[in-house]
Amino acid sequence: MEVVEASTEDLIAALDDECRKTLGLSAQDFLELVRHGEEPDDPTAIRLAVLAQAIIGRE
Amino acid sequence: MLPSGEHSDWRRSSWVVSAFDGVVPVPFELEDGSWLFAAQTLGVRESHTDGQLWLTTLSYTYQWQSDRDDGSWIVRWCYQRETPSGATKPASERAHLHVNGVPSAYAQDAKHFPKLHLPAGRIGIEDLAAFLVREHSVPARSENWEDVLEEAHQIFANIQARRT
Repeated sequence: MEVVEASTEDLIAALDDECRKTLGLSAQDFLELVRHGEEPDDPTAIRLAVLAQAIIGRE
Repeated sequence: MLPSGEHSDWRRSSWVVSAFDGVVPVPFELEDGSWLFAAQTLGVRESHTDGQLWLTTLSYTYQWQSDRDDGSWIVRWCYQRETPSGATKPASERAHLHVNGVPSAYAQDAKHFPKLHLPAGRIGIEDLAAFLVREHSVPARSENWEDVLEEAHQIFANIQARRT
């Protein structure tokens, strides 16, 4: 299994890019929603929440 | 696999297993042309019964979809072992599924059907693979796929039996 080597800053930058493109949110805004345990309705947000959880796990 | 924090205390480490585009989890195409988003977050937790450390699934999202676009989702299975604060959820609150459709007999003024949290148990990726092959005729890539899935299923069942 291949391991994705990336810094937390890289993950946040990628999340920010995806969130702004598809959800109209910044990464920080989206991370706040995920921290509060809100389950998104949007299927893209559900996919990006996996990345957000990985970032939160590094805190 | 994407490491989600490396801590000296193993119980604080977790890892995301998925298909990735760079660092972003993405769906992948199946042999029949439909797509599957499958992401699991794994972590180490201490057994309440014997104190041993176990690698376990903290959460998963499996989403079967008709094409690469997330909006084409058909069914989504969700599992979350813990609350955001880290407390273990009761087993009955951990898993559910969503269906992206509305039955014609469903009341129009009720909660939007795709948003319903339909009760479900925890399922393994093996169960999902078997569903896709048996029910949707997704071509299997190996002739002995049933044996492979059954063996993996049995290993999982044996581990679960040891933990209870």
